Amino acid sequence: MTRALPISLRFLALGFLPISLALLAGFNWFRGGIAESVRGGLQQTLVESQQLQTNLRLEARHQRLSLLATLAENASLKALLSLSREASGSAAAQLTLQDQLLEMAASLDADLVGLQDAAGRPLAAIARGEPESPPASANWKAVAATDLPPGGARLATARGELFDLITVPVNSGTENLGMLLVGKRFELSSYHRQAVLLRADSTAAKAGAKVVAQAGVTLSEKQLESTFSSCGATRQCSVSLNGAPYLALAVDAKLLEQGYSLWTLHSVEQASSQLLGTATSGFWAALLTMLVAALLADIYGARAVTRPLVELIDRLRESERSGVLQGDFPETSSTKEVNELARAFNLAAAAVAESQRRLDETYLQITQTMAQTLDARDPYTAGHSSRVSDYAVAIAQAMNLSVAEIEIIRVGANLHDIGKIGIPDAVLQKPGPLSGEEFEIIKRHPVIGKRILEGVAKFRDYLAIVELHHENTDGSGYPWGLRGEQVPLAARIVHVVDAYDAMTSNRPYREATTTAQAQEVLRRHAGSQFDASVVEVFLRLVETGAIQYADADTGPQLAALKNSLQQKGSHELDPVH
Amino acid sequence: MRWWSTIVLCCALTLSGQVGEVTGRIRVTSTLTKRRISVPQVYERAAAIAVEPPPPADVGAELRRVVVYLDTPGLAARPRQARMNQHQRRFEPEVLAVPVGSTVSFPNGDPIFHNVFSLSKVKPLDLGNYKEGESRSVTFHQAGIVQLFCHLHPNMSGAVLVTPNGWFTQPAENGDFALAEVPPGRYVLVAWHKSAGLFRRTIEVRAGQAVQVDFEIPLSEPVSRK
Repeated sequence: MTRALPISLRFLALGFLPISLALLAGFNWFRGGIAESVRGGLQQTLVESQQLQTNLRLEARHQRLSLLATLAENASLKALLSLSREASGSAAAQLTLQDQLLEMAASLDADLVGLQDAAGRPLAAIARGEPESPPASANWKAVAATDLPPGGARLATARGELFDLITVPVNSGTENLGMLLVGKRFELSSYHRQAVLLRADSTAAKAGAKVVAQAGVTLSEKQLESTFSSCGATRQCSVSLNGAPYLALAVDAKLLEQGYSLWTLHSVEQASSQLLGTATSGFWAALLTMLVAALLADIYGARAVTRPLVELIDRLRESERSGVLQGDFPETSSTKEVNELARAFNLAAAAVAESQRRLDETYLQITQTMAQTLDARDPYTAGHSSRVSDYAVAIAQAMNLSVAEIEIIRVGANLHDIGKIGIPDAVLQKPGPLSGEEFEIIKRHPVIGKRILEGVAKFRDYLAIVELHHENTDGSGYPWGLRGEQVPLAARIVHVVDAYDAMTSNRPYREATTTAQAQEVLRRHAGSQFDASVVEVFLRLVETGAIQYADADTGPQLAALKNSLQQKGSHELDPVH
Repeated sequence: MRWWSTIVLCCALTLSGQVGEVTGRIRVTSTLTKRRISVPQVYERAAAIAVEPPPPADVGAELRRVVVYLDTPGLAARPRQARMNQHQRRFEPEVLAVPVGSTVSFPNGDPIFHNVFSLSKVKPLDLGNYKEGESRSVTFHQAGIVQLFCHLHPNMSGAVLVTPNGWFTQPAENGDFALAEVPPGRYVLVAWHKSAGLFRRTIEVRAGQAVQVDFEIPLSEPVSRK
């Protein structure tokens, strides 16, 4: 069994939650897309800037090459090479070469200057010492000629340092005299803050590369070598340094010596995180705003839907408390379904009222039938109930009671002896006089009648008549011995006319007294047994002829009374016919 | 030997009373030889280009580059032996004057090779590569200016002035010069500066008289050059 939930919660569960989940998912997806495109754009920019840098470096190299080619046309350079050929192995020649290289270096922006002969053998070289220590010109030192790489190398190690070399031929006519080598100290960090230079290691059993230089990387050479072993010959490579993802971009091989590879390292994550951080906070703010808006709209919607329903429910609760289902639910709500509901409730209320009415009617008919059944059981009292009713109504009218009171008296009087159903026939139809014990049984009929009618709410108004129509003014009556005003007027009226009709009717145990005798009895007991004012009204009505006793069998026939009854359209008062 | 013969000649001319004298002063008003200019190193962008203050005019050095002589053939010339060293990648002396027919030796005083050559019309020469302690000698048979260079060291520059006769001199430190025992006659007196060139004056030398000729280098007025 599912637990009942208020509509507003259902709204929240079915409306707000899916919306917020969809929003969240959508935003996340969007954010992921943005991050992807930012990273892609950044990567593209890095690749392009590296390409640009390569182009600039190549251009610079080319310009340098032209410049040095001009320098190679220097006659003294050619004279030097001729000298070295003439006097090879001479210390003086070596000194002459170095001396002249020093002279050239003074006007060259170079860190290494060297010469090779036509066969590629190194002749002499000098290198600038510590790059930072001034004066730079005074810091040149000879480099062991054997340190020089073979001609054409772009990278060379001399004196334990790496140099970026440019080699230009020195020609004389059609003859090559040798090569001029001009080098700049290789600055890895000039490529990028974080960079690694590797050289293919041919001595290793498996293909690998050894780290030659590294800048801005705090990893051991072994770690770097294993990291870059997976990159191979690609131009771009994703590597992980100290657990952080990096994009490694290969520098164009045209700038490098064969076998070397130079990777610049870029932390795309770090660069994009700031940009993404701004975007993300914006996203969250927008998401939060939208969620709050959705929540408010949802709450408003739930309220708008539930308010008319709650009103209906309140009315129903009210009906539950009062026991009356009023068929007046407003059908004017702006919600169609609520109007339908109200209409359904109204129809139901009408149906309930109709069935209630029919039920009441049925009860009346049943009791009427019961009264007639009673009359039929006792031929001596045949027509008694309807006569008592007629007399009582006449008195009530004469006493100017309200229409509602008269109606109560009419029906109540008709039913006043209904309790006699519970009295055994032996007692009720006994021809002789009743014993004391039998009379006690008879005296139980008002209470029995009350019990019969008690079960039906509609008969509540008649209970007093049924129960108390044998109480006397002086308290000598039964069943309770109430006095005077303690007994309602309706019961007192019925008491008088019941006694009169009983006296003027044949009974199993006696002959009917005459009307005059009965009137006398009434008059005598007025104030003690009967209510004096009721007796007075009744006697006056009898005197004026408004009530006539015609025949004990047929009961009173009274034109005026009959007319008034017919005017009411009542037919229940004609049980005799 | 040389000074001895000169004195004899001079005494003979003086005693005969047939000689005159040329004296004068060379005035150098500014540094004639421009200093070496270094190209700024364009790659050192942040480095300020140091502008060196102009050095004080080294008049003495300029005067050592001057030779005064009589540009007249037919006078007696006594050949000599002279030497021009190569020391610290320079010719020493930078300017050497010798009468025609003299022989000049070029010893290498540096620990490095030198290769002296000249493309002059007067005496083209190429002494080849030679190292410290070695020397080459050249005899100049024709008067004229012989500009000397070194194949290996383009910054080396020197000159040998081969005069047509024995009347030549180089000014003293104050610029004064004197040519003694000049036979009377009309001469072209030449003051030659290695960088500034030839400055000529026509003079008349009379016996027993001294001719005063001052040269201002460079000259303020245009020079007529033959």
